Amino acid sequence: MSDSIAASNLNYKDLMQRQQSNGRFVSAGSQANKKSHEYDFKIVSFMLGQQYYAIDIMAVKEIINASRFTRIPNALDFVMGVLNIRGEIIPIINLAKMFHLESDDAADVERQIIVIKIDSLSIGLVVDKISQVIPLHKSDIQPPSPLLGGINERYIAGVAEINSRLYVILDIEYIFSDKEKAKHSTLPQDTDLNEEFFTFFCNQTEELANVHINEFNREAFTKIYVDYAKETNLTQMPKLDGATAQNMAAKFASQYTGVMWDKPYTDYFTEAVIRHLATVCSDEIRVLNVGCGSGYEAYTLYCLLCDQIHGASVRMLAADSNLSSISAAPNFELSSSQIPSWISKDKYFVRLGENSYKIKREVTDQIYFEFHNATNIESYNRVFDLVVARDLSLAMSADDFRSFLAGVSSKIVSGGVLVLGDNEHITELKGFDKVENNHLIIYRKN
Amino acid sequence: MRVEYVNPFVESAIQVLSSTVSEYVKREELFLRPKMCPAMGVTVIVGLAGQISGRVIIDMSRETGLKIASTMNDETLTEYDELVVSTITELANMITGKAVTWLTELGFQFDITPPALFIGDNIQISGNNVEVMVVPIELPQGRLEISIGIKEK
Amino acid sequence: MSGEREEHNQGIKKDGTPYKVLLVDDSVFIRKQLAQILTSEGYEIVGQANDGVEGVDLYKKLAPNVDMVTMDITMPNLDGISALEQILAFDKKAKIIMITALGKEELVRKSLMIGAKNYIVKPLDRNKVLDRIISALTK
Repeated sequence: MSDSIAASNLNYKDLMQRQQSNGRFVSAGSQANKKSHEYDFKIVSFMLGQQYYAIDIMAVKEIINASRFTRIPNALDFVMGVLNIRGEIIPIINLAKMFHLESDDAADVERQIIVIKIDSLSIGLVVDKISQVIPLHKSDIQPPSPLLGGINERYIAGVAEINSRLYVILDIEYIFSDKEKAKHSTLPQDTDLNEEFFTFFCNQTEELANVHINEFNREAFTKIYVDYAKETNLTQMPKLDGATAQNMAAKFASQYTGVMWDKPYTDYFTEAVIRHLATVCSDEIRVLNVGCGSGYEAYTLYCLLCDQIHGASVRMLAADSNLSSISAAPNFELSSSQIPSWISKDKYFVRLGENSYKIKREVTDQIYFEFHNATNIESYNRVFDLVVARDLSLAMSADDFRSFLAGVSSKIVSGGVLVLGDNEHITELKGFDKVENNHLIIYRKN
Repeated sequence: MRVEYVNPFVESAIQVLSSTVSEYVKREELFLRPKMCPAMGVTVIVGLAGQISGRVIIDMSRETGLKIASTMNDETLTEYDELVVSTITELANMITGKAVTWLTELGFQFDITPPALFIGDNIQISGNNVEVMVVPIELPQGRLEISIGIKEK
Repeated sequence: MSGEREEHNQGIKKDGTPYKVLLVDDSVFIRKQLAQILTSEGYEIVGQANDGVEGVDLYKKLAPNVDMVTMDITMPNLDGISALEQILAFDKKAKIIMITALGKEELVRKSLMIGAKNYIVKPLDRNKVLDRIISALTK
């Protein structure tokens, strides 16, 4: 623990006495005539940014100064860390950040912390400047105005104007107690809300379309959500039906999912991927196509590679964990309209009837279709020059996707290429360089 | 696992079990595992050789094993004597044998090695770096898991 | 698998004595099944062997009081095909029927070429077992 609690812990009683001796007592508008010791409760006031806020003093345990909190990996962004106070480990929350207000986030600056106790839980609230303790009458408090920006209305117990200064009194119990939260049925109605709506939107899409929304694809779903919200004029919690959810997931899907790829996508691919492979591969190109479904992508890649790299042989492993899709792949049949014009029907297909074509046996023989789980790439006893795995993050949890990436990393040769889905986003992929491209998501192994 | 291999194993398991153990065979959803990990108590291992190398493992609880052997022998068997062991071993032999016959018909060269039965909760399988397809099966006698791991040479 | 066979006790010869059968199989289970099927039809099991070596020895000891041998193909020590060869070398009239799991077609073909009379594929079906055995006996 690297906590450093200031030796001179502030005591709120001291604070209050100081305020009293200063004589700057309540003289709030309508209650100006009341005697000063007649009050219903007291609030501790502080600043967040430029605004004054306050909380009920009954919730306050103590006020301390501290810096250097022990940081917690993967914590929510408003959790600054934890602090050991006389043996009790308490979370430290940056209140301004929690409410998406501007705040100074520097790590090692000494902070004023209000330690509160809700039920049996102690929490430290980092605030900008603690000013004073103020006794109040109930009647001093006005209901919050919906016009108040910044903080969600439901987090506010009321507003008090004291000495012509406006204090927003936070409902601290409501904010930090789940029990209370459950009681409130009213829904949020301002900017914060978008985030809750978005979470809801994601949950429903995940559930109804059977996909995973995680750090690798959330960004794209944010855009999909914004469009959806605009389109539907969203004013309350989104409620997606199955078809809509499927539709949202389909919007994420890469171009030419579930069909043979066509121009200009194939040209982009040739330009960015195949040209490079041609310079690093010898006579055999070893390809892994993960999430190949019923074979459209695998056969597209095969035809494209054969067309573009003359004299090379393509050996492909195509895997999917959906048994019914992959079972269909070795006997791949299409109608002529499903075969894009760049693919030579004579070269790759056998004509079955009037309008139907089947992939040639000699093509299928070069592709090894496998019922296989993408989290288990390490079990392959071979290496690859090209790995195409589009939109796999949609089919797995973030952890599984990470182990997939680690597996790919161990099985791809130096100079080899990894192609991900059009809308997938990896902040950093160890051992790979991202290839700048406007149309495809490409990583090259160092 | 190569997709052409899947059905022969699943179908042979269903056919053999329904003709020798019980007509009430229920196959559950197939799934994939990163390696073989028998854990139910009684494990039969059949080796696969030929153009591939691999293993078929049938895993069940001690109780299920006894019940299956009892049914197949038409008498109540209560301990793992020679008869019970040979019955369960034979069952594995039949399931794998039938699958391999089908695969041969499809043009894949497979051979099976004699099965071996192990009793114990924590059986370690060596040379285990292969993905495994698991066929879970419910019988009135209990649950079986048939795991198939095949590696191309 | 219950037989609807009209012909009863096919295991009894015309002279009223039973056909004598030697079972060679490393699986107790299969031996037990065969014994059950055969004895229910009047056959007499004169011996059981656990592997090829035992099987050949037992045949030599029992001959000529053996009418039929059932021989598993895959066995430890001495496999069924080698045992088949050794028994035929000792007694070229020996009637041997091979028992095999599916997936051993090549070995079955080989056995038949060497001189096995017939074969039975496991899992054992009562009717099939009886049909194959009687046809081998009367061949």
